[in-house]
Amino acid sequence: MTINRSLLVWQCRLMLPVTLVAMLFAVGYAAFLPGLLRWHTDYLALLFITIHGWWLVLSVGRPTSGGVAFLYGNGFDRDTLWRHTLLASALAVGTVWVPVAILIWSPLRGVIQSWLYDNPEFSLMAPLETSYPWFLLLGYLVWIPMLHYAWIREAQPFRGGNSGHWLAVAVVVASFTMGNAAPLRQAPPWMINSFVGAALVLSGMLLLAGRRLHRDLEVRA
Amino acid sequence: MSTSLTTLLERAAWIGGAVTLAIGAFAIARQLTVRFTGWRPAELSLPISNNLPPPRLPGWFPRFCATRSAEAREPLGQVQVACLLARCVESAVVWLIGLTLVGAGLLNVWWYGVDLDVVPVAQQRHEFVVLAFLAVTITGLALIGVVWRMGLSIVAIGVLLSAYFSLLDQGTISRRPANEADLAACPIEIRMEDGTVGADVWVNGVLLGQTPLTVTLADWMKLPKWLDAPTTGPDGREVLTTRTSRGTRWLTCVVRPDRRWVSASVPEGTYFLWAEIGGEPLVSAHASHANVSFDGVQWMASPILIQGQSPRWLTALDRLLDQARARDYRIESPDEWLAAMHSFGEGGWRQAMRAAESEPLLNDMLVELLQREIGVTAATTQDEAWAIFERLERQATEARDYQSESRIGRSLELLLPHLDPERLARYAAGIVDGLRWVPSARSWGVLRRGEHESVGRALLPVVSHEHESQTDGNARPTFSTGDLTLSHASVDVTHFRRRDQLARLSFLAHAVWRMDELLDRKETDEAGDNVIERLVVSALLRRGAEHADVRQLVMRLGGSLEDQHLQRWFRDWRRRRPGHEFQFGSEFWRMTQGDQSEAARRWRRQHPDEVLSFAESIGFEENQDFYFGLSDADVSTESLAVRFWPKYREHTMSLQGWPPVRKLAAMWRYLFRMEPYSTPEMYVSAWRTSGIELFLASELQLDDSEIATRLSHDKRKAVIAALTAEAQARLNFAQSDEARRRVAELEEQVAKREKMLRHDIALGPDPVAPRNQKEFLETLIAEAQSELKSAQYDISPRRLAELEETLRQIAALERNAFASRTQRALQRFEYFDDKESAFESLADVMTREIPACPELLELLDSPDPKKRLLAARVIRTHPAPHIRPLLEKLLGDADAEVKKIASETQTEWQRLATEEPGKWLRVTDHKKR
Amino acid sequence: MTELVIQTESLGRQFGSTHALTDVSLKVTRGTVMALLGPNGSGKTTLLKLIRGLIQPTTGRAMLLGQDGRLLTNAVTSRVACLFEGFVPPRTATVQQLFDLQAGASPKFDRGMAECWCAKRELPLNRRMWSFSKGQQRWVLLGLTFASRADVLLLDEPADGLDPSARRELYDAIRDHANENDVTAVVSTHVIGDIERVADELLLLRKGRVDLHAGLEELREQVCEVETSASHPARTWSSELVLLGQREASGSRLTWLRAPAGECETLVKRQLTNSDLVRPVNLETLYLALTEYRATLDRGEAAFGSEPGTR
Repeated sequence: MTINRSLLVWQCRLMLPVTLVAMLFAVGYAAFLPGLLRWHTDYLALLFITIHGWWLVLSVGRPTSGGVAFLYGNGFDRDTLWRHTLLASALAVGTVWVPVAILIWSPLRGVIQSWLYDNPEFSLMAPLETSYPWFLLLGYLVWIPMLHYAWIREAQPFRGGNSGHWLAVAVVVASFTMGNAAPLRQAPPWMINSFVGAALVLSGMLLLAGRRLHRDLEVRA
Repeated sequence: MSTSLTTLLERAAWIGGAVTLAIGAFAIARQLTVRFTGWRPAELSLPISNNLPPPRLPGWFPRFCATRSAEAREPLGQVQVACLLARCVESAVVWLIGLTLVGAGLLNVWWYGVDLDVVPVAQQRHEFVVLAFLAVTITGLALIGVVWRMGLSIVAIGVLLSAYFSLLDQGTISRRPANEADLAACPIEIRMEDGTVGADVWVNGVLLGQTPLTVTLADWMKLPKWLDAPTTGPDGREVLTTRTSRGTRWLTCVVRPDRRWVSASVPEGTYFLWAEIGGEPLVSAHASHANVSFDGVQWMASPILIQGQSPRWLTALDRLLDQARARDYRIESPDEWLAAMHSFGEGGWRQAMRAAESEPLLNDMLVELLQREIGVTAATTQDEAWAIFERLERQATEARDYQSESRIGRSLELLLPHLDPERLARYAAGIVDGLRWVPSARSWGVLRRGEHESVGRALLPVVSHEHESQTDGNARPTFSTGDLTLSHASVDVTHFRRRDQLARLSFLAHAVWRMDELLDRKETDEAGDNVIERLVVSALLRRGAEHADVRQLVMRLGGSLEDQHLQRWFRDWRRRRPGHEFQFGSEFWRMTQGDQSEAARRWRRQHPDEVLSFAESIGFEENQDFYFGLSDADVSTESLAVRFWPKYREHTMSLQGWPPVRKLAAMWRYLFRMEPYSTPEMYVSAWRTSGIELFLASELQLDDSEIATRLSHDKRKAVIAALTAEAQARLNFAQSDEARRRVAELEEQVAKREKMLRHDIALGPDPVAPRNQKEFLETLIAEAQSELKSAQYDISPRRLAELEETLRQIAALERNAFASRTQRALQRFEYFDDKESAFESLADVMTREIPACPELLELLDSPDPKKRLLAARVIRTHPAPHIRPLLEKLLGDADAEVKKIASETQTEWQRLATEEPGKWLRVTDHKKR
Repeated sequence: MTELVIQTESLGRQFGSTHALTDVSLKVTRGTVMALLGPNGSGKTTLLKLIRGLIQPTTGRAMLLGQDGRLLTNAVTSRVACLFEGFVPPRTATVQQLFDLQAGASPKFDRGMAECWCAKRELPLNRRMWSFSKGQQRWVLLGLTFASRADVLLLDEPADGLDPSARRELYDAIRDHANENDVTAVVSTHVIGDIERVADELLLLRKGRVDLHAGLEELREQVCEVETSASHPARTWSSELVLLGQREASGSRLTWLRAPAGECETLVKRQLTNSDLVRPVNLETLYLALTEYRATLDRGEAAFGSEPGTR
């Protein structure tokens, strides 16, 4: 798989504003939020992933925008564009996720919390919050392909273009419902692993379908 | 078990699922058939009879079929393939989401979804049937979406899932609305707390059967209604109603349906139980209440546990212990003794251990027996010791109840020094990590131990209350699962369903706690943490750092991790948990006032301003009685209690609607708890501030146990002296010099007499004074006070004479006010009608003291043969080594009756010393439930 | 042998119930500059997008450099440059960044040429697109297109927004490219006067169908323009002549007739009076008349009494 550096840079540049804003917010949130970060009750994080992902994909994945259409008519083939769009999305997500993960997995967050707030839980944060970044990542792994699929689906030459967007809505609703309905912390590990597995299967399916349908995508800017 | 709604839903689920799946499968099959075989479906028509017109189908349906057929016949171009792929993917996504949400319903504890640990098998069937067919329906709809309309399929699945979760929340399969028909069938179990089988139980005069027995709530509600317990038992014998008596009485039991589920038509009721074993009513009995609640799955009632013993059992146990005493606690055949102890059941062990608290040699004997029983001395390897631990753990779990003050608890404490701390720590940490319901563990359990009632957490750390040993006065926490009466409003039925596991956790908490204490006495590692603190504390904090239960245990275990966490946790209480100030406040309150753990004490030492600030903010609510402890006796006059005293006094005086005597009682309680740093001047200032004209101690209604444990004898005298001096200062208004002088003399006598104070505040350790004696003394002192007051204005010789007579009577009884426990027992024996009960108390008190108590010696040396006879009777009850020499004196007594009793006693003791240990042999089975 | 660069077979595209393109079959060889003409909504952009594979055909297929438009690989896409209305780079992009991107897309990208192109209009390379006018933006994109050294140029109204001198330069560049590098270009435009100088072929679309597809030279040789007085009745022309269109203006009637190469004028003069004039065709007026005439016929107003292509 060859990487076209100029194309990748171009697409990352398209996502730069949203990435910077998101990174600032995410790092600030992870560093300065007092109290423990629990993935299953952190609706703000879920909302952040939803908005961030939506904004990211809107920057690079919407074929009806002039900027994205420009790429399609500019000498790149479909598969190259698809590959680089995903790669750029992954880099943008990584730019936000990696600092958060480092903050949480290292003693850094505990130190900041201890220094700023004298937080009594500072020594507990690293071990208690280990799973938090993984679930953030899982959220991105499901949401980004879902959104890309939604836009690709909309640009298909056959009917039912909105179904991708409806599916994205369904994923968001399901995520919030599960976060609210199920204290998954108390579920047996095999059940949580099942949900994670289902999410990964979902993500894989959307990526493969997206790649295939991307070839038929119509650029109608 | 099934209800009409459950059955309906189950049927709807499988019918709907089957139909939907069939439709989806048919649609797919039809498409595939048309595509691959070229079959052209015929025009849709229905068989008609000759005379009826053909049925008219909606116009869109044939068009739809034709369109789909045409599509199916089209060659699959690239676009068509992509279209099909998209619909398949979308269907699969929706299907996955649907199934995931359905699966989430399995976990939904808050919506009372399926809780696989505790749902009965029959109920699980309903759950899984509905869930399985819900999944099938979703699959069918997904298939329909592939063929027909994806959007409609998504909507249909969404509606289905919404309905499912709405129904779940409303209470159907997993959370059904409380069905009062089912309520009637709710079983209420009645059993003996110690597991005794075969005790006869009456409720409101109706014989229900033998323990363990179960009655339905419906039958229970049919029992006759009594407003109050009768004065006779079922056999017509009169019952004793005083709580402290060893007599029999009707036991109060309240059955309370949970009002969140049950309408007012099912009343709350107070019932009266009577229990007998082999025709003998139980003594010192108590029954727990029954709370009836609904957990979303089934109705259940907490069991009614009856505590109590049969008199013969008590007598037999006493005899067994006397046999030990007569042998100087040296046992030749430990196996026989073990068998004998076991024959009395767990209750017997508890009773013996309670007695051993004041008999070190008996304690040693019991320890030796327990060591032999569990085999700890024979265990040479860690694996063997661990095997013993596991055996004890199993016993606790099977008993479904655990108390640290039990045979198993004591055995555990004997075992712990032989156990590898690290192994225990890892084991405990593993269990803590594996707990799935610590966060929701909030219910309280009520521990009943004799007459003493306490409330504690029914789960981790399962600390019931601080039990003070009667010998050394050191507080020692006890662990108990209690009887889980669910007697508080915040019932979390999850624990009730899991109560079988609570015993094990209590056992483990006890083990961890004690091991930590053992290790703390030894050298610790470089960081200052022992292995318990390193592993278990971190596990506890991982699982439930946010929960008061866990914090409480963690505080007691200590360690650097605990220190880091907790020292900060409580530091700024105002910032903690917005919206949860009350819960946090309660915990904070407990820690500031009552918690004697090292962590709490250290915290109080380091953050006194926080504590005082908190006390001022939380405690001083209008018309609230602020029970504020601030027990930090280790910091001398700089204690928080001392510093807070002026504010507390000011607050108490500002309370509206309180009579002066109540205010004074509250202030004095505070000072009692401040001991030994409260001064007589403080007591006087409290009295002075209260505005009470004269010191009417009978109205103070102070709890004698507080007084008993807090004031030393010398302090009592100093307080009284200060009080009477103050009182005297106000009373000196005699009219004439002579009268004034006489009044002054009388006042001086009153002042000298400790009997100026009402005996209610009698500052002796005995818990409760006899009521009739109280009333008599009250009357005398009231008369004296009244007379002295009026003597300020009118002193007549007659009055003075009456005063002097009153004072003489008071003087005669004055020793009762500040008597020692023994003295009070003597007085009670002298004045009470129930001589048998009074004698039991007297004998118990007199013989426990080692060496022999002065009052007994006094009786022995008394010239009055009646007193010597009393001494002889007392001695006879307790053949302990320190008592036996006293008998020698009586064997040569001049009084024939005394000598006879002494001789009989000697014979009896010789027999006790030689006979085999007496087992409790009854027809009634003592096996565990 | 001339390479077939673009080939369509019964190409059609339907948007809902609207047939944007119907049954378009054409072949374009290497080095050809084809002018794509037609009124608004005739399907020009649709055709270009179908060729490039940006949208999917409903019927038929389009081949570009031997590959189906729906499955273009990088080997083909890197040799094709497009310019479409609405396909605009982000406003925050600088010219330099565009060059970098294009360099990644086109292996033969000539950065020097691109810079010279921009220098002609004095457009700094470090300025962002939002700071340029519409015409300047278009100029930059054209520079990008040419500098990509693509073998195929698909230009949808490339002169839109350009001033007359820029338009001239544009078409000169197209012609030069076609001549020097054997570049094939399909250019849609409304301004036929510009394209007439550089186009080799003309494709006229009307309502999604091909109305006329012919070489320009061929058209000039086969078509002549006749000016007669509008007061005289419409003439019936001989069967060897094909009436392409008629138009009346300022008292004159212009008629365009088509005949086999070189014979048109001869045939026409036989039927002319002294006041009538015949001359070689002006493509622009021909285009206008054709489109207008067709529209008149479509409306059912057979004002001139004869059908196109009839005798």
